Amino acid sequence: MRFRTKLTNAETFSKLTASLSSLGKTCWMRLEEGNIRFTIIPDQGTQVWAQLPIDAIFDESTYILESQSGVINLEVPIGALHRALRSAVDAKSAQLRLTQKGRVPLLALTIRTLSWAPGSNALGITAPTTAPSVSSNHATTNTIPHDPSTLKHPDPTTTTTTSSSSSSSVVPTRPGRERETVITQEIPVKVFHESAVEGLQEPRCRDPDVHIILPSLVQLKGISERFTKLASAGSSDHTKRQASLTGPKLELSANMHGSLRLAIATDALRISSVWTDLVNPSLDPGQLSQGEMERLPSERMRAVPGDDEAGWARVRIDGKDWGRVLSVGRLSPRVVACFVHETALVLYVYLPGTFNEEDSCLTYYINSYAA
Amino acid sequence: MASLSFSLSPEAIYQLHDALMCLGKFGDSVSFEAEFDLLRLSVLNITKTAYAAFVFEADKFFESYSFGWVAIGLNQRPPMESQANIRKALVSVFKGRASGRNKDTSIERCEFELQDDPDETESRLVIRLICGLGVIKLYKLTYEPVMIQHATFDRSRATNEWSIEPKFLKEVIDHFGPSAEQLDIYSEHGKTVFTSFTTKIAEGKEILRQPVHTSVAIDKRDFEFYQAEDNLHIAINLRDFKAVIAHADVVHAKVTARFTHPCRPLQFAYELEGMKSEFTLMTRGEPVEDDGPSSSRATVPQLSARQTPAPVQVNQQRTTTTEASRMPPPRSRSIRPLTGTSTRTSQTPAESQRPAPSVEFDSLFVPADDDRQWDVPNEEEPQAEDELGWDATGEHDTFTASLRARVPNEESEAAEMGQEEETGIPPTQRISQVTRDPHPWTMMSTNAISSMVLVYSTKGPDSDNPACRATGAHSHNIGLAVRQRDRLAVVLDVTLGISARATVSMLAPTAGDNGAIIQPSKDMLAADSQILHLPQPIRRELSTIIPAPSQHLPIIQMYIDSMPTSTYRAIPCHRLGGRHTRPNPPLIIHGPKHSELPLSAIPHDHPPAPPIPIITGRINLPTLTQDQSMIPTGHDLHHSSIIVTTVLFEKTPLAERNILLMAETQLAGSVGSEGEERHHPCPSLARLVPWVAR
Repeated sequence: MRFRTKLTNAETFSKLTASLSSLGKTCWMRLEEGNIRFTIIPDQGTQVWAQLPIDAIFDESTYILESQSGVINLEVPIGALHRALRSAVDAKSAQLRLTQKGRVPLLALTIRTLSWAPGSNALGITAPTTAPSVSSNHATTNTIPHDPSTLKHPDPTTTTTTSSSSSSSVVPTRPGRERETVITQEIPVKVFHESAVEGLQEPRCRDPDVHIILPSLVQLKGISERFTKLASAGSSDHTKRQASLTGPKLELSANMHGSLRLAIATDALRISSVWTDLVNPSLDPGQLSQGEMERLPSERMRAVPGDDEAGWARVRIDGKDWGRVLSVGRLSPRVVACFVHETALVLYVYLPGTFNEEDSCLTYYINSYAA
Repeated sequence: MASLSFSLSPEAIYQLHDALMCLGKFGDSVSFEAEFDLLRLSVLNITKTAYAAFVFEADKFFESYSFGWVAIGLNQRPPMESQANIRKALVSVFKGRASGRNKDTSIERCEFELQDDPDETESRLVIRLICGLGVIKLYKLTYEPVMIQHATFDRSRATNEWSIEPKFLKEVIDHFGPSAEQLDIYSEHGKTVFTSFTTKIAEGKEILRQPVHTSVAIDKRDFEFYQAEDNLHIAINLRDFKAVIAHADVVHAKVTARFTHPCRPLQFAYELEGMKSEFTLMTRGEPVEDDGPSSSRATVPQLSARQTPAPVQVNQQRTTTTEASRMPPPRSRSIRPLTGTSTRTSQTPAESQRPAPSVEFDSLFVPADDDRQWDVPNEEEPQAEDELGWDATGEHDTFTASLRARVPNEESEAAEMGQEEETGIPPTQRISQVTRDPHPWTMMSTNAISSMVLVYSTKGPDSDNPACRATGAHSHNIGLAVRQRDRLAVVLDVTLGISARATVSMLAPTAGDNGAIIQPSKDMLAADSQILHLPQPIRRELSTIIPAPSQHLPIIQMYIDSMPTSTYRAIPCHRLGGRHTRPNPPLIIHGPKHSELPLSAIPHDHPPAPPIPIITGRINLPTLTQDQSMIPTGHDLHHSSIIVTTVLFEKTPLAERNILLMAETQLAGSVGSEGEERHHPCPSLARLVPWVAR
């Protein structure tokens, strides 16, 4: 079993793991030929099934995957992976591979960074010795009197040079230079056998009543959090105790006429925000026949006039969980929300630049709470 | 009763606040220790694996500083359970003061006063913040006088050293996860690698909860100075490391690390104007199975003095003293070449003539107490190295000069003193070792001298460095003057001042097989109050008379070192905590080798060795002041890691004068089996007393 690749888009990968890690601690990472899949199935809350083409984050030419089944299933602590990837964001190069230490399989991330190290003589007065060489140590020690470190420790320099002739000796002048740092992050993982993941199936639900492209997630997140906070603060002690476990319930609804409504209702308050002129994307006609298309619930909803309440599909979701879901906004994706009235909300999150491609989509399955 | 008061400028307050914040990462109770020229704040963590100390110099850091007594120790520990409160209180006293600088009521001065009155039931630390517009904020904190423990670290014996700008280490730290526990440091192929790891063993699902192992390799060129053995893995607690680097980064101070082996302490140090800090951390790793001492048995016959070359070199190289004395400690230590062979680098001609001793001392703090030292001394060895000297001229001037010569800066004077034997015994040497040298005793018996002075300076090259004084093993003087006032009357003045510090084992195993009676390397920690309650004569107040604190004379808590002897080889790492399992006999009781000391020539049953009346009468200080110059002043008296001295005063029938009897013994490791061997009989005391009375 072998897996090795270079990261091409460490920033996306890092952001992806960051938004995933808000939903669960461990992530099922399925490495296939051509695709990577990240799945988070928490005990309670939103499931994520994300599928990316390998070139979204990995370098295809260095992607090596060897396994009996052609697939490697890993259980990855997603928070640790995210933490490790943060080192790689500004790196010159980063390589990810599956390895083993003792009996613990690891995802080893090797990162090389380059940064500029200013020298101690910032003005470059003693410019000539840009490339300090070991052999010239003794001479430089004597000839560069203004370097304080030289004055202070002339002897270790010479001693080192003569006794060990190691390259680690003191450099009398320290000109600015590129400094390379190699960082290795070893993330412990577990390898699943294919049989262990057979039972994990992506949730299925009926065709959505309304599908709509969500507005800017930053805005949505801000308003959602504000609502959640208001509801928590304004509610009574009893509901507060409830709220601490799950959080207040947001009511999210949309119609096929470009409107999205975010509302929250408690005993004390009732607020809502409405977005209008959003896009209800049309379905790909190539996949569905005309007859099927017309039988879709979304088409029926589209037929309902915009000002009719019957045209709205509504779900009730947990405010805190919704906030965690919206953390995917850091990837600045385009998000299609599919409302199944009173049943579920499914978010299709397309990474920028890969819009509407089936194979680079994060799918969030959010159950609706009963009223 | 001690009195301490000082005042701080606003800038110093910020620094103090930063230091307290840093110390707070090690432990909750901060120890304050005042000496006449410095204030030390230290924390020893609860597991005794890390010791952090900040030393503030009296004349630079403080606006005014006045200290009225010798060593006081107080520990900021609140009376109630909440241990952190006082440190937090201290922090909060200073916190937020930085922001208010430009306001009218910003702090203009901060005054500290310590009220330590035996009549009062509570000791109080009073902090007065004098702000603008006449606002005065007064804080009264209670404290508790405690025994303060220090970690000692002998810089000159650290074989590995590097120093680096903290920002590079900060970058390294940034890559580590928050849950990382340990940090392993080693170097190879021109890179230095910092690796975080955990020692927890996880199974099943827990595997995924394990911290990420992060290793960061930086170029050795990032270091200002790098001199460390390749592939030497040193592991420390990452949180301690983070605490050190965080503070160093804030103050932009270059960090220097010194260490020898795994399972030996590592010290981070840096200094600023008026402030110095040291962090002594216990390391873990593969203890070096050091066969150096056994293999080099034949080649290294020297006393331990030899092995601490710093003061020795000064004396060897009389002609070049001036230059040599300025040598900083790193250069005078034995350097282990990077190639990994354990031959020492020859540094002086004298040394190079010897067969290069493949010495790699197991002990960081104290020379390995090798069996060889009990052999017949090799007469051909240059005696100068043995570092014990008597000024037989009887002239006061030479005596003082020889004393002053201990201070490296004044070494040139010593050079001119020509004939006298320079003395400068490293702190790690026992008096008993010294006195086995026949030389001084011959001088004694001639009796042709009216005064003799035996001074061993244990000042290392860092002796003028308060930070070194903070914990350095080098930094004390031992002065002994024997003075025959009158040839007819057999009156001797014997004065002795030895810095004294009982030692407590730090959690380090011993790996080597050296024939040591003690393994003093583990004596990292010392408690002042275990030995030293006697007021030392203060240089500034020569004319005053200090009453002897008769009731305070300590019953010496003589903790017996329970380190393994050669019969019990290494203590495995995993037995670190189990002190009680160490089976070896305590040094002082079972030290058959003591009988081989020259001192044993004095009959044990010599009559004038009565039970010593414990401090009667007073010390007439002017009497002492004649020898004042060689009595180490108070601040010098707290840094011995090995030699514990009791000074006893006795009023003799022979003369009006007080005779100061002194006794010397060694202690190493104060933590013996609980309740065992805490009494004070010390063989060398019994021997010394009759000698003095003669």
